[in-house]
Amino acid sequence: MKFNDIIDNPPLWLEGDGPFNEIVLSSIIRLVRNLDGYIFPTRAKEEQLEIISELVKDVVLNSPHFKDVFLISTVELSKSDIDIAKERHLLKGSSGIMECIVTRDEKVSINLNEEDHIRIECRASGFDLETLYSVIFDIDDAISSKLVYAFREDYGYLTSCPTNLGTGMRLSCILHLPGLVLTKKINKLLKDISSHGFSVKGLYGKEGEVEGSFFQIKNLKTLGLSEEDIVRRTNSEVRAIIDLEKKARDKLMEEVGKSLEDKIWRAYGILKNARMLSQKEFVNLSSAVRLGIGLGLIDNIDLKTLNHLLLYTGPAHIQRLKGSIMDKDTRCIERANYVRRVLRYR
Amino acid sequence: MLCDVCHIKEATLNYTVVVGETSTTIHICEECAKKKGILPASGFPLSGLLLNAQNRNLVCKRCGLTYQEFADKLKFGCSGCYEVFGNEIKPFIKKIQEGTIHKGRFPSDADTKGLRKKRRIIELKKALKKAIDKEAYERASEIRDKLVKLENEV
Ligand SMILES: [Zn+2]
Ligand SMILES: [Zn+2]
Repeated sequence: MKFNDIIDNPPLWLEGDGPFNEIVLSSIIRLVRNLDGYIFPTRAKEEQLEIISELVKDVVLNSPHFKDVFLISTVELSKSDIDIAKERHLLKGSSGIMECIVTRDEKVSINLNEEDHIRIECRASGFDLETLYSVIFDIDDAISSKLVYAFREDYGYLTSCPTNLGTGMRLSCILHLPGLVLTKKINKLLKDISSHGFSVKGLYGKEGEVEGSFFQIKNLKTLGLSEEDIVRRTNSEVRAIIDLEKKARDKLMEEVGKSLEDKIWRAYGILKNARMLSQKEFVNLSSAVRLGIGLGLIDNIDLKTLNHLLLYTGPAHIQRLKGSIMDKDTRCIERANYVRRVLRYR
Repeated sequence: MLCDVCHIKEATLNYTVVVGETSTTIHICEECAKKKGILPASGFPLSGLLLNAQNRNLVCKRCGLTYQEFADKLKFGCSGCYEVFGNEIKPFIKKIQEGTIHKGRFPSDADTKGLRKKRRIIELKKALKKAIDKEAYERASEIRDKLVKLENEV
């Protein structure tokens, strides 16, 4: 398998299916682990990092649990391919050698030697933390049956950052909340969520800005709670938000239904006809169309297509279309061309 | 709310501090703020909460991280850091986490060390106390039997 084989196919977690797919784009679970007896990556010497990498790769690449996996290494990738891997959330860091073992469908990825020795991440389409939970612990068990993790009775799994201690487990959901944004209920909700031990922030847009009404919610506490507790709490927090969003959408339909429908179709019209599209504009217009799909107002396009567009219109992915570095205006032109091409065949 | 630094006086100033992906609120009394040279308008340096004259010279021998460096970046260098800085960071961990005792899974090798049993013993001791408080003596003696059995195994 080559890097391009992975990149050519959209990740399975962007299928647009799964429970509550009209509101929850995807669910993510992450485990942070370190190997016993080795210094954490931020302070380890290069030769130590190499040993850790070899140890983990040996276990993962030879385990029956990991069929059809591919090793992404910054050593072998061009700068633009690294940017693509980052846009797909496969690489996170910014310095040193980064390695990631990923399954072909991109549902499971294991990062080596970032802030911690091992970071396992599993993704699913829609709202489905339970399935992810069982998948990730099968992988964790497979690794820990061969390698010894750094662990203490009191602090649990030892991590580089004290915010990951204990279970080392972080759950998150990508939520689309246009109803709560349009009815101006979002700010109070965000405050409430934070006070319940969760962090929530906009997925697109710079610090403090929210584009496209996309939010990512994560549990903050990892120590002092069991994994089941964290799953239960996150499930009920996200469920409550889903219910509020549904109510807000109903209210919008009741009060301004026709003008909402008009806005949604206009957004669709622009996407189908624009000659230049910035990423920000695409995110916002596609957000309106996504709401239209959720409300049953538009069926010319499905969530899967919108999800794939969301990924493939990122700057690094657009650049890949032409295989050359582009300035911002050229990217906007290429993005608009690409979106028109995809929508024409719908 | 008591001051997070002296734990004696009532806190009057609040600061939001970012720790990794998390943020936490630090409550501090005026006297401690003055002592640490913190102005109400400026942000709160977390190092102010963690550092004191005795601990700032602590060093982890394995990875070379100093406690001062930890206080600045809030990143540990190795598992040895937890031994060396263990007591100093406890109040801080309590602040950003749900507690300071792990309640989740443990690695398969830790399991063989009898960790699961040890945790069961702690749970049973709690249950025993509860039963006695409620004067449910029959239940208490059941729990006590289980406890004795487990303790003998460990
Ligand atoms: Zn004080
Ligand atoms: Zn250390």
